[in-house]
Amino acid sequence: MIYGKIWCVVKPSVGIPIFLSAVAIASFSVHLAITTNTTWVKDFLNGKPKAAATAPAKAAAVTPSVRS
Amino acid sequence: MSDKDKVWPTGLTEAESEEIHRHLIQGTQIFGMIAALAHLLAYLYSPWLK
Repeated sequence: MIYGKIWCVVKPSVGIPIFLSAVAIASFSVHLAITTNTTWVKDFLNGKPKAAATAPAKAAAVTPSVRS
Repeated sequence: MSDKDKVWPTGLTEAESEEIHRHLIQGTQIFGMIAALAHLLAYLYSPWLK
């Protein structure tokens, strides 16, 4: 198996917690970034209807003003 | 690297190292599959990317 001998030179008691922590921190960071930079996560968790349904109406409302 | 019974600085032999690595890879694959399923459900039931 590729890289299977890594634990001959890296102690598993050090390497495995680092590996798992890296996965956990990366995953948490991405999810935190999504929750802080979007509105729909909060809306979804609060049971609000999809914003997508209103998007075409908004586009239609915006389009005439763009043309004129 | 030729001596299979050599004990490396971490106290493991090559066979033991590969066994640990096999379990780590398997755990990663299971985690990945669960994560993929969770993302699929999030895609289906939330406004994500819609």
